[in-house]
Amino acid sequence: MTLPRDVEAWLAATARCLAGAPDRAEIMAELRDHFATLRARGARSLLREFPPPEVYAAAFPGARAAAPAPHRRLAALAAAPLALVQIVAIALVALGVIKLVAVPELGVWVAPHGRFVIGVLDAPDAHELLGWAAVPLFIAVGLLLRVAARRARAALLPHPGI
Amino acid sequence: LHTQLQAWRSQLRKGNLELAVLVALEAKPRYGLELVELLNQFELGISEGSIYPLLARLRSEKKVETKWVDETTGHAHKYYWLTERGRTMCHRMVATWREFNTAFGRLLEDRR
Repeated sequence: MTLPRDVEAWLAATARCLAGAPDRAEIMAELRDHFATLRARGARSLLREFPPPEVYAAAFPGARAAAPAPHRRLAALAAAPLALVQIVAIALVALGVIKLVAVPELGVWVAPHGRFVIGVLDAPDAHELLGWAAVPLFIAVGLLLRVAARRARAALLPHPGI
Repeated sequence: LHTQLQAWRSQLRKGNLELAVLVALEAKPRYGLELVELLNQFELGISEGSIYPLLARLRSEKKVETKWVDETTGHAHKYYWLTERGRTMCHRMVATWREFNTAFGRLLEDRR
């Protein structure tokens, strides 16, 4: 039976991660049967209860560690920058909301000497760049950054396991 | 508290999954998806992903044996059944579970 593309990709990645497992062919045949049976019954989200391939493969006896070493190093390096991006994202959304409900002067300002300031600037030669467009812009950019950071975090950081 | 309770429930399930699978296999041979569905009929909250690594471990510990069986439904399923070693383990685990359950029941009664 033909399986959906995402399931085939998951199976292929799991097979690669199971390279050291003694019963690799048996495990793969059994997983393929599992998904084929569910598919024949009309199930749609076949991978709902399965973790990422590297995590899943590591749960089998004789399989190698949950994630390759370079992947773990990248995850460790990315943790702090991703946390910073999340903080910036939340701050941008907060700025948009605060401008809308409490401080209309809040925005992106160009100060004398061409310096940019995000906030409120009470200087005679300063002017605000975005006006009320800052509200949707701050909120949209904040939400986009938050979603992107969460996705990157989910892809990189270790999965809790099965 | 909700998150901690969820984590505790998850640990409780994981800790008892082997016993649940051995008991389910005691009556007759079953395949992986069949086991998940049977155990979830009893609201044990077993995920599909958790069953195959456990079955592979039970096989490597010689507690179960396997065979591919074609039920003439289009494709074969891999059936599992208990070995003598698996059956002995199952009986001992059930006895231990009952002892624990009784002791815990006494503790809960005592608190009233």
